[in-house]
Amino acid sequence: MVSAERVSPTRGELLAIKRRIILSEKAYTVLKRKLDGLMFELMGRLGSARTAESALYEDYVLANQELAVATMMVGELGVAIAAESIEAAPVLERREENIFGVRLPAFRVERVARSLDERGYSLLGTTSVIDDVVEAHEDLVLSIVAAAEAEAALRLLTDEIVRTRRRVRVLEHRVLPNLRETRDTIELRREEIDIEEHARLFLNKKIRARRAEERSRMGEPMGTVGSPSAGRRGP
Amino acid sequence: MVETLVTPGSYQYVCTRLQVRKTRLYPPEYYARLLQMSLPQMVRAIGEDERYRREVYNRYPTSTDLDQLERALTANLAHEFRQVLRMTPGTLHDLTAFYLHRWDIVNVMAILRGKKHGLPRAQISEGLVPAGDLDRDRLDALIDATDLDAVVEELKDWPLYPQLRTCTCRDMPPGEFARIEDRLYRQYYLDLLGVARRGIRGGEVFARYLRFEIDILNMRNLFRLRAGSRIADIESSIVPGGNIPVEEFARIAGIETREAFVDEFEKTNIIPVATRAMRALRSDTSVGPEQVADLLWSRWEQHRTTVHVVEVAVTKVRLEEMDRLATRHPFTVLPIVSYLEHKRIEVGNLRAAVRGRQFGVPNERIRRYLVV
Repeated sequence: MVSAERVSPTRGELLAIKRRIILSEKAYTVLKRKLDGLMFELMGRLGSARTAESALYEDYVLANQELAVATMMVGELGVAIAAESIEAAPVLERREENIFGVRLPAFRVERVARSLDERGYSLLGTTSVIDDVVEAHEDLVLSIVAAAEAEAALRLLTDEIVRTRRRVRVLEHRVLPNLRETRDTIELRREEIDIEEHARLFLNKKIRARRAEERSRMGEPMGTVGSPSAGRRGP
Repeated sequence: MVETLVTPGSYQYVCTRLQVRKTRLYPPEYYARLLQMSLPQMVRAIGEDERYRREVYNRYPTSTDLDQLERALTANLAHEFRQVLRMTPGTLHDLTAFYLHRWDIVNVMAILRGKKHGLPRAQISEGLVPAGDLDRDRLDALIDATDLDAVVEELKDWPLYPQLRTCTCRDMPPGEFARIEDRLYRQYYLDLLGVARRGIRGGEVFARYLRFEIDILNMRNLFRLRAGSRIADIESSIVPGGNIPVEEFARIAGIETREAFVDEFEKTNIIPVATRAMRALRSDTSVGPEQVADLLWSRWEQHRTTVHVVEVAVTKVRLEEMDRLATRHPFTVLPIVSYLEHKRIEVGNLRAAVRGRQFGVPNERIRRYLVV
């Protein structure tokens, strides 16, 4: 952080500070826009996340009910035998979607919802409760993936919003006011220096004029009095 | 196979013993009482029954470990079925053994799948129900076999072995296990029909009942095929030998209009049974065949499986039909099959009551899943 007291009140420093103010203002504008964009994205995804969550809850309840019925009718053994018949596991592929620099996960699932002949269990060796419990759990897996995707996106967006908001606030309430204060201090100091310089030059001029007058009265040549070295000695 | 002479006395002996055992099965009121109990009380009540005590005490099930109770119940079922198998002589034994081959199929397929997926030995063994012709020692030997080829080799003397030949260690196409299992079940029903016609007392009546059971099974599976979007290939999933020919099912599978569906259904023997089941389920005698056809059509149209409680109600009707036949033919094979079915249903009912309570299913709903 730039401290107004420690900065030397030079013209170069003032220019540097002004450049930093311009840069910070640009950063502030960009980050503010990013924050607005992130908020907009978050609000847009909030509805679908809520839908995914309620769908997950409904599917979970339904899957549990179907599991209860299946366990009642064919027992844990019947359910376990059907579960062990599965020959190919589902495939979950993770991709990424870039939103304002935030990498949001996007899942693609394959081989979850299958037709009867792809499930691996025998039709004649099982009953329809197994079909229903499998179907309910296939839906549940899809809901879990959709809800996980929505929730992960919300979390990542929220984290980024918090981070961006902190930056915006720091720029707005700390960096920019400090820089402006420093700029003002330097400008003030520069003005003081200019006044002092002006006064010094004025006084110097007066002294030199007085000395020149004295010498002319004494008959000394002008050139020796008005030399640069004599003028720099001061009053 | 050594032919043993099955005298009328043998029928009377076996049927009387099983009739006595049948009277010891739980009456419908017991389930009402059971449903008033908490889960620990249920476990204790089942364990205190002398018929289940041995298996339950061997496993120490608790209200938090109901898997052990379920295994105790299936162990009891296996023990009971094997006792019946030992009790029956000659052709009666053959029929009982063929009837219990369904459990052998379950066990053999569990072993094959377990070995294919590399499951631990204990896990495969725990899931077996040695209620069929293959006893525990034989099943253990199958689990200990080195690979799938060795398991299939060990089963060379098993009547269903020809259907298993394609099961090898080499690359099996996806879904081959399911196809093998379907083939085994189709052969199971054909064998059972064949043995029922082999001069057993009441064999013809039993075959008639079996054909009826095959029709119900096929119709239920037709709904499943439609719901599971595999309607193109139905022949491999339809069991031949029922009253309704396979071609009829293929025709029903292609129906998309209500009128055609109801017409075809009314030609089958399913509608009267489904109507009886619906009347019992709704406690309403005014339910007619049209309403049942409408209900079935609505499920068919929505590509959904049949309602489970209706399936349970149909099972009740099927069991009543079996009891009626067993009463009419008291010293035939029918009381034996009736007892086996009732015992299986009792174990299923106990499991449903306990599991229903575990999942917090309301009593009224559990009651609808009980076959009483």
